[in-house]
Amino acid sequence: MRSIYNLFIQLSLIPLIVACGTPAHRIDSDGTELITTVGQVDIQDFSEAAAKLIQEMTTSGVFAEYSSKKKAVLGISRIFNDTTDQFDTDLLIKKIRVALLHSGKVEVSTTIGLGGKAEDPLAKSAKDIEEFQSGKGNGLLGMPTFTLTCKILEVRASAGDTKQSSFVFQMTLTNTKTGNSSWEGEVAVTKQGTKNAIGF
Amino acid sequence: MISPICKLIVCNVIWICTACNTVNSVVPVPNGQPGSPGFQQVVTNGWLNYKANVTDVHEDVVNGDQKRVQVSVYSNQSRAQSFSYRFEWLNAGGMHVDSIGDAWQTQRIMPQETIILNSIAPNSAASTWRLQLQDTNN
Repeated sequence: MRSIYNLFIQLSLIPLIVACGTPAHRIDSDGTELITTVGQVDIQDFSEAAAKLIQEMTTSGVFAEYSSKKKAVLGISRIFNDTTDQFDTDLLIKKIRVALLHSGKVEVSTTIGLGGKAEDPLAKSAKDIEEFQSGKGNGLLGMPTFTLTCKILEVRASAGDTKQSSFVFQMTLTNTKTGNSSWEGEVAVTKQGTKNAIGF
Repeated sequence: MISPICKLIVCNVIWICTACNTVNSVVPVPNGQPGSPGFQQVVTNGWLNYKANVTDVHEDVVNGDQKRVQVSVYSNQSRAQSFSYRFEWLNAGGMHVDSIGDAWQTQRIMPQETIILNSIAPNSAASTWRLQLQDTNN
């Protein structure tokens, strides 16, 4: 009788413990405790896609002839999000840029942008003034050696309650001298489940 | 009827099994063979080591001056498994070099399969690496 009473007390405590919830706390943005969703691109998906694209880009040797003394200049061209998830494409592109800069072989142009729109207008103005005063003139200096384009696609499938989403990141490096692509890469991040979960 | 002591022991065993998700590490050990360094595994999670056991390490240089490492990982399990991994890169002084590979990545491994994990050094200053492996929930 006493053991049944003890068991009843223990079981009745379980709902109380579960219902208390988890207080808000900070976690590692690069860690393994992040929420994994099925229907959208998560922060860890951007990290994984960027890491794989950088690996493919580096392995191809496209920047092999460049060094810290002679760097390639990269211009950011059209980056297109063709998914149903509205996210800022800089979540991917900034990681790519940081990795390329860290390699010591690439600089990213912030004064030459798509449609003539500079990422940093103040830097562009300062560069224009410097070129004008020094007589360097026609602005051909500092033109990108390569341009980066990217398209992000989404493919969805479902089987009963199980949903699957694949986010495909397609990236191209174009050599501005030849107008041809020097490197192309594609990475897919696929997630499947009936509901969101914490952790991988 | 189960005694309270038995219940307590069972609960503690379950708690220990779920809470002990410690990290296994792999570091290269110079052995005089360029391209195929020796390696040392630090196993703190024996269960993880069954499904993600490092069997081979190869190194080369890509992009002119960046080190690349490829690690072979084998699972002796009879069902598909998942684990997380990341490569950390260090310079000659043992200081950590920030890398896009610092974020944990997930990997699926089929029964009795050997897969390859790759990493490329972020720059020419990163000369050595450390692989960390962690179990995942599913």
